Amino acid sequence: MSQPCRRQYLELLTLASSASLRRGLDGYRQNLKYEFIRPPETGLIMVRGRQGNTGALFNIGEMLVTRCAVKHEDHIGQAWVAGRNAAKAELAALGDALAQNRAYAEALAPFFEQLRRERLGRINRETKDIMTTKVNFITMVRGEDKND
Amino acid sequence: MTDQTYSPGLKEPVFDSQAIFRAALSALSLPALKFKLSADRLPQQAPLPPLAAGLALTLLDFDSPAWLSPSWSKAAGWLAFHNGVKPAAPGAASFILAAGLTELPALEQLSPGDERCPERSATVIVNCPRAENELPVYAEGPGLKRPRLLPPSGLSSAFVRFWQANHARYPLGLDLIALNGDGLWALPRSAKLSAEPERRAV
Repeated sequence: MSQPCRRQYLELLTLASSASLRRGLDGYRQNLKYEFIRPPETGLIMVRGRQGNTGALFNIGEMLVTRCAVKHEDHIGQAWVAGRNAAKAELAALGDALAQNRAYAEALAPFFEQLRRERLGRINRETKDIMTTKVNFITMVRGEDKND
Repeated sequence: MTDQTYSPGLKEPVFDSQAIFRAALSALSLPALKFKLSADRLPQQAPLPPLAAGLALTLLDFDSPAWLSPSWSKAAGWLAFHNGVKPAAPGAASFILAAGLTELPALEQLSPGDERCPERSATVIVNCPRAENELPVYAEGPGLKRPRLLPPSGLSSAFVRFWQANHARYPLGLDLIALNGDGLWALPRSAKLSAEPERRAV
């Protein structure tokens, strides 16, 4: 896989487990100099949606998120992660800043590849679990609507 | 987007904003009296002067559309990043932020609130470096035991006339916070301005 675009690696960073982020990025966190543009802060966001993506907008519910923005050299890294894990938000934001930096792109490629594999594994596992509960509804055609 | 769009906000968001809010509240309660704020409570790398930046982060959010005067308009991105502040035309803005008295929009067109919700009026935050007022002006009203001379802030007599009309439509009207060097002073709509303080029997 070629170098993922920002949207892709932001998705990988936010959805990764905090253990994987720590494994890949904690070394950078300890050794690099970066500053907080916005220290990790936790708050509620309202998740909104449309039924079938066409209905009227409605509020699904509130969700706890932690956001963080850091600046390393000239790159701004941003992260919004689910839950209240401030350390995870910080690592994800740092990961975003480093991923924009050509100097770190090569060193980080295996890390992102690892995150991608973990994510795919989790999706497969969850899909399998869900599929066992799938129920097919079949409607018998009675044929009385036509030619009545 | 300028380099400063992503510059840090308050260092200690909770404590700093409380200190700034306290200063603004005190200033509005005791009109024309200057309250100082220490520089380490204020954002120093913001696209606004530290005092204006700190006050904006403390008071503004996504529910309070703001109008920025031309020399401060580059701060719109920074305010949106930190507080989700939306830009608005002067007449629709809850907050007017101006780099100087000359950059203020026509004050008559700003929202004075309505009878049901006078609190929906606009608050004017304006940077007034130390400069002689056109004439000595005194503030009177709630919070003032006796008339108090306004700090020298380069106020014109046209402004004083506007403020007299502003006070006359109480409970509607604008509130003003003036940033003056290392501190701020304020004129709530309840403050009455006059060139000659009324003599009162003590």
